[in-house]
Amino acid sequence: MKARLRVWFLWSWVITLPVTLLGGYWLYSTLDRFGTYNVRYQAVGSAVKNMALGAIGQYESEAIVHRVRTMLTQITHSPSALKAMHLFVPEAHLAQLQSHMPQSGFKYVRGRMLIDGKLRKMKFRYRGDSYYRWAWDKKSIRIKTSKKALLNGVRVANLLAARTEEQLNNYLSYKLAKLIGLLSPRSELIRLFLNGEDRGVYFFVEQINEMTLRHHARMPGDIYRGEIVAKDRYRDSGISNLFDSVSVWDKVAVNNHYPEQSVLPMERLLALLAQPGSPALEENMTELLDIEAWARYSVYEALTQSAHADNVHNWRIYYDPWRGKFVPIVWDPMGWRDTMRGKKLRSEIRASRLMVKLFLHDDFRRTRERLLREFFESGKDGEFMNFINRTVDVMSQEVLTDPLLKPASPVQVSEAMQKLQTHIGFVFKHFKADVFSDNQLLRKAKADSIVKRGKEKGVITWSGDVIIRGKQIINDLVIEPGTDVHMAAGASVIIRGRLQANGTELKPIRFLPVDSNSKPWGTIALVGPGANDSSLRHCEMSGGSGHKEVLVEYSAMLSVHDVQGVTIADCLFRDNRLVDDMVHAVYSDIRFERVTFNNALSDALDLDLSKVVITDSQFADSGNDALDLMTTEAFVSRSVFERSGDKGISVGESSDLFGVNNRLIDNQIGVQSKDRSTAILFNQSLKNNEIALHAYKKNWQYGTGGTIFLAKSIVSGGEIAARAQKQSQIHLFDSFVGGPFGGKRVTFVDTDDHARRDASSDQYLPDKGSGLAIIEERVEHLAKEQPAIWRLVNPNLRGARQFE
Amino acid sequence: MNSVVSRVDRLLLSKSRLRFVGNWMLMVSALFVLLLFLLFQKQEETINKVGSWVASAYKHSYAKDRKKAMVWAGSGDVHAVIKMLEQHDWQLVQLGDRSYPFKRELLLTLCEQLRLTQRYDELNAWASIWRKLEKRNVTALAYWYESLRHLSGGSQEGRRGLQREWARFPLNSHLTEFYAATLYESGDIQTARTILNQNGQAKATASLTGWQIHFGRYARELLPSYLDEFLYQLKVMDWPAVGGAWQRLWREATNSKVRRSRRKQRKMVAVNLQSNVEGLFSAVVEVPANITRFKIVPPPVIGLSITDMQLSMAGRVYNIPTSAVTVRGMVNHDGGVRVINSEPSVWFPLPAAARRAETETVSAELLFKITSARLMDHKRLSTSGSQSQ
Repeated sequence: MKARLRVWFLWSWVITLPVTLLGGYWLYSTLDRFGTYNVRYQAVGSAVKNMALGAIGQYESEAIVHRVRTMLTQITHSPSALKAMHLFVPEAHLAQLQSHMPQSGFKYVRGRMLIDGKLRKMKFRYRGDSYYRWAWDKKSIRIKTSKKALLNGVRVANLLAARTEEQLNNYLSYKLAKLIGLLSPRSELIRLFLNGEDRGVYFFVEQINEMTLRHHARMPGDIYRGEIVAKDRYRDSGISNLFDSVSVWDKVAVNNHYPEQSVLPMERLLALLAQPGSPALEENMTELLDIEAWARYSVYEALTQSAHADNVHNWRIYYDPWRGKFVPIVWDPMGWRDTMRGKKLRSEIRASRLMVKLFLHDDFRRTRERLLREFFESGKDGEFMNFINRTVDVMSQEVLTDPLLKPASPVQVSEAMQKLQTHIGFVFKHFKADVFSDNQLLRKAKADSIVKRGKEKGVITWSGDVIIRGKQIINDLVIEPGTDVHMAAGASVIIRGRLQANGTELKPIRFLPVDSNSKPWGTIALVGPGANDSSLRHCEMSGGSGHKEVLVEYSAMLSVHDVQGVTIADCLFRDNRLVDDMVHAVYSDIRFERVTFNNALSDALDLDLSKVVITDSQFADSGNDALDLMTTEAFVSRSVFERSGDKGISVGESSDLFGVNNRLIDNQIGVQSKDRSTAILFNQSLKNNEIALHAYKKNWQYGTGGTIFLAKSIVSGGEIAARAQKQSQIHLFDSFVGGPFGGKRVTFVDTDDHARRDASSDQYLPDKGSGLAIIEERVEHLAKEQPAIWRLVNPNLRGARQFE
Repeated sequence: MNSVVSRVDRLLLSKSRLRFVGNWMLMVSALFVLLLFLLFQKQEETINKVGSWVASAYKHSYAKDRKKAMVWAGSGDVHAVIKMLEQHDWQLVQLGDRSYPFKRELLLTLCEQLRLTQRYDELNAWASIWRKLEKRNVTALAYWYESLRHLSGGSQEGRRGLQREWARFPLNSHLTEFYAATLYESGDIQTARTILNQNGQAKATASLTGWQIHFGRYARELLPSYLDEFLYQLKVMDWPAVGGAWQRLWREATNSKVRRSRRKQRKMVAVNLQSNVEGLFSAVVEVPANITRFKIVPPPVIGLSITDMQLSMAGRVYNIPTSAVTVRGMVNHDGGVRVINSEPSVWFPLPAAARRAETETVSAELLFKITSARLMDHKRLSTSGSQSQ
């Protein structure tokens, strides 16, 4: 017995050594974490409980067990189904981040990441205000790529560690925001590898900035950020509510048409919110807030039961300078978190002064009810539940091999995700029942029967000689043929209703300065959906400029903001002054037929985020570009662009141009395509342009340059026929091209320098396999979209024919 | 000593003895970590208490330093304060750290001393350090611009900065005071007086809104009363009552359900103040009769003083002396308590007599006087103003 004890004792190290090592590691980790995040750093709020010594000890022991378990699971388990993201940060840099956590973690260090199979430079740091973002092994990260290599069009992104055991609150919340049609950051679930080591499931979220607006086809403008908690708090400012003072808001995107410090729109909004409820307040709120978007946001808050955007944090608000309205952006909603933890379900979330005021607004309430009903009627609830189902299925597998899962129990996490799914189903059911209940329908009927307050819309008619002074805001307007509208210096007309300015060939309508010596007048502006289906026929406009107000800018003699179905035919625009554009449209859908643009000060026709059809029009002697496109879809046919100071047609910032039978003559640059834009041109005649075709990358935010496809055309005269710079390409097919080429990125198929008009073949596009799949796809789409213009393409001939 | 060394040598020289010692050591270590592990599992509360003790001991070491430094600063020995702040452990303290509030307080005191002694170069250096630590501290910003204003080549920027930042944060006393001083120095006494008055008015308005009254049951007040009862029963030797009193004491001290229920019962009401004819401000709240403590959270208006505190409950009025209150973000000042940072609160236990209500709920009225601190230059400006008139 004694001998056996002796043997047992001598071999006891087999057990005691691993226990000591493991225990020592556990103890060291526990004390280290406790020392960093609770002794040295001040634990506040829920951190007091969650970062207590006992809780950390518990976490460390579970983490050790889980890591061993995942090592074993990873052997038998299939690889992750999520998109992998590989980051490489030198250990010395990681140590630098860890040196005085959490504060040291917020300073960027350099690293690299895999983007499109190549190692690209990036910056790396930890992020977040609260301990759950950086106190555990799985830390939330912010990365910033270089301008040269974006990550799916995103430069600054957050890789977030889950905050709750159900993991998916924010991910699902953002997906619902997208489904509902709100501005929200790009987001997806990924599997992160840091220096080759699996760090488990992360949640990728784009950082909100100007690029977010571009992704959502919104014009660049101010994005206000409202955060006054934790390290974002303005200490000793005496301001404890974001809606008390504009001083505590900052901007994460800036409208460069106004000074960077200008916060006038926000000032106006806060002043409105300080007023007591009244019909005037309601009217002013309608002016300043996109009520539909806010109602949508409120529906979203209710469906996610998120009260996370409150009086102190989580606000991102976009001010659209071209619509003159504030629009909410969803940020860190943490949907369903509180209600899953016992908080009562609320039909209306009023967590901030702004939302409280909005609920006093009749129109807002009506719109909100309609949108909520539409959400269920359209079956989006079912669609979303299916999405959750798929996500939970994928995640249940992913968490099995996530080495840094928190809580460190895949079973617990899977159950929590199931619970979240059930809970969302319950919330939707609750709202659905409420929306379609008898009471609600009765309320809706009542709400619809309320006569909308405000002025009745009256139609104003102008005829003969009309003199305009100062700024006039008008609803529906009819201008009789033969009317002369004499605009005094600086005078502007803002039309919020439908404009019918239909002159005739013999009796045109003219918008002219009061006298030939007077200073330029301002603008004629069509603004908002009320002006849909406006038309201008046989009109002449000259001597105007633009109009800039505190909150809105009209940058052209004729400005069209957010109006659909506008027709401008047989009109003449000429000799604008002072301001950049002669005609400018944004967020609009316009048709120009037989319109002449002469002698523009700078750009003749500037189109942003619009859709346009231009036929049989003439652009001559523009100071800068004749036609300037930004994120616009344009169909241009049978038109002439001549003697432009810069480009005949500028296709920029993710625009699509489809041109048939146009002539571009004596321009500095004939057609230029840049920044993820595509110009598809058939039967063009480009003559004596200094550079006929030019493609390049100008704005890094679009990630790539431009593309031009020119077929069945003639390029002659000028210095350079085609030049394609970095990340851009020009394809020439079955064309006569006379002149030298610049850059290596120009391809030729059946192109020659014989000045003949007959095409080599009757093919519309080169044979398959010539690397033009995207062009083929676009052509197919364009042909479907505008068959009349597509029919103008003549595959047997080169150049623009109808002019000869 | 030599014999001990030689015995250890002999022990280690023998292989089997070495194994013996090694195994013993490993066994002790393993037992130690296992014991600790079990403690973490089974006695989490005790472990947390140890953790809290470690954290407060850490904080206490900085609190001691801070106390010393405040004395130095009070006696004008700025050099000693600077020397301390330049020590390695103080240099490491950053925003968010447990000891940062002390550092902030020291920086504020130091900046004020440097300003008063017109050592603007040093003021600029320390205000810069403060600004780097806390980008959104308006007071740090105020000191920085104020120092800049007095440095050659920076006076324009300093003046403009004060003007711009004051327009953003007119409620900050330091900004107001410094900006008023620039106006005063440039001869614009009327505007200086106006902004001081505006600041006074704004502060007065802000002082009336956003008050919070917290109330609830707390072990810190309950346990002594149960202990008193227990000792009293022991003294009179009423043994059944001793048993009952002990049970109550034990239950209150250790039962987690009781603790949770105490926490659940704690409530807060937000109130705006209104003054009565005597110039006292009051807040009336309906509270459960068994509460033991009131906490008042005033709005974060720096310089706001609370004096003459009274509590009226069940027809009786109790005076609350400053010696009976505990403050955070506030200091004792002129017979009352005064807000010194943006997280102020003051709490006091309910007087024993007030806990004897027979109804379930009772109406409690808190009465006190409030005053806002007048800015230093106000008097000077008023005098100048009257002179100029």
